[in-house]
Amino acid sequence: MTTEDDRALWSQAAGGSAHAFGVLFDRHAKAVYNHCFRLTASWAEAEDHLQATFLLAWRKRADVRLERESALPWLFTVATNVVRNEQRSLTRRLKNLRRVGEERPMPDHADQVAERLDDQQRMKELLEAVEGLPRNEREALALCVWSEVSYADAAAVLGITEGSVRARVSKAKSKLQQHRELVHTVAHSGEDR
Amino acid sequence: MTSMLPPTRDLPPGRRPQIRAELERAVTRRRFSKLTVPILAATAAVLAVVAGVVVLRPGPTDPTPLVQITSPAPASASVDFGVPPETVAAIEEGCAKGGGVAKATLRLLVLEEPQWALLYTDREGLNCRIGAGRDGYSVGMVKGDMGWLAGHFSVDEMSSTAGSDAPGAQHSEVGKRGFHQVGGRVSERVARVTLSADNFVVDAKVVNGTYAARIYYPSTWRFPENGPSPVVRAYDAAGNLLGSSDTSWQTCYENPRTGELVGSVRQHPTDQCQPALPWK
Repeated sequence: MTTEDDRALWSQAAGGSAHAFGVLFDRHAKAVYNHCFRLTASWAEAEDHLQATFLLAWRKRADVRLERESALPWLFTVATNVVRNEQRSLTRRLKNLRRVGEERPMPDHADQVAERLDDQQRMKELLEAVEGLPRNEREALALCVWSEVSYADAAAVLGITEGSVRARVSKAKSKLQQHRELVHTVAHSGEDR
Repeated sequence: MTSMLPPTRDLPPGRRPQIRAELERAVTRRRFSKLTVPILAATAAVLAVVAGVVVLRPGPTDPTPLVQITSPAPASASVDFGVPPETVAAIEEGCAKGGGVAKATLRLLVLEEPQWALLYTDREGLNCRIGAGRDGYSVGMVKGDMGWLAGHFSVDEMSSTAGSDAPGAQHSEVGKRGFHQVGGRVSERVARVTLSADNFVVDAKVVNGTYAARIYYPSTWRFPENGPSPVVRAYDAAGNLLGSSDTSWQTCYENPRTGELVGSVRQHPTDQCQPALPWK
């Protein structure tokens, strides 16, 4: 991925190119999908939020000018807002988890289905652990630590200073010292971004 | 808690092109008739945030006026839950408040500790842990048309709780057992429901069109990170298997009156769906 690629594609999309927008989707769908999962603990809902995120991105294409080298940080913030507003808050999100029986089935092998169900259970526990954080710290943690957006990029898309982003993440980390796994990076399995 | 964040995963097979195609249709047509109501609601809300405008946000039930309303769940007054009516009323009020809904009807109450209850509205199923949470009621919720079942039963609650003495557990108490827990709705044909896990099989409590079951473990138990999920099976009065949670995803169901899918199984071609069963 190059700076010009995303910017050029975004510019084309802003001009109405559905093809360019489709390329951006192909490029970032997986990362946004996983970001949404980390906010919801539901793979099925992450699919819906992924779709809503890109739909909103399309609607905002003429109003947004990419200042950074990648569209991904902005897409993450859009996704965060989509998730936040869909259930009003992450706390409420936890109360509204779709249960296993309502999950959209995955036409995979049974073991993969089981792994995804385990993911959800594990993510639910982790979200419960960060539930007590203020929303801005929680979302900064998800953005910068879990989804590995740089402080500078996060600051740009959040419209705050880089120092403020650092402060939010730092406060979140200090409050989660007993959950050290939460303040370290994700156990990646080939993130393609 | 000792688990790492789950690994990143790709979309399920077939979903990426499907979502891409839906987006392409939406952006090409420049309208959003194919999108779901929740997505529209989320989009509208996010637009407000992006614009930095404070708006009066719609209430939780506002986005669903186009959805067919089914007949309300029967009143719980005629059912004996083993507790006084005022306790039933308190549970219904507390659980509804905890779930953010106006009113919910108690359908099943488990008095064994930790106590929990299943309550339903037309559009929500609430599993409510009593004596937990800030207000004494900790609520999980499943959403959808509760008047229909994708098969002979639903799994509206499936969770696992580590014992209080398990490594990494954060319970303030000691000696509390761990457990798998399931609950949901059943059709009129269902006479028996079982919960299976780790070579254990227990019979669920089946009452009032609902079921609930737990498998208990020692207080040092924590559920396996990569173990198989518990399995729910439903049987009729003759002992015939009516459905199993580990295979139910293979079939899609639709509301025979409206054609709407029941149970969110969008991957399947809808012409292969079976009629959903009513739940009363």
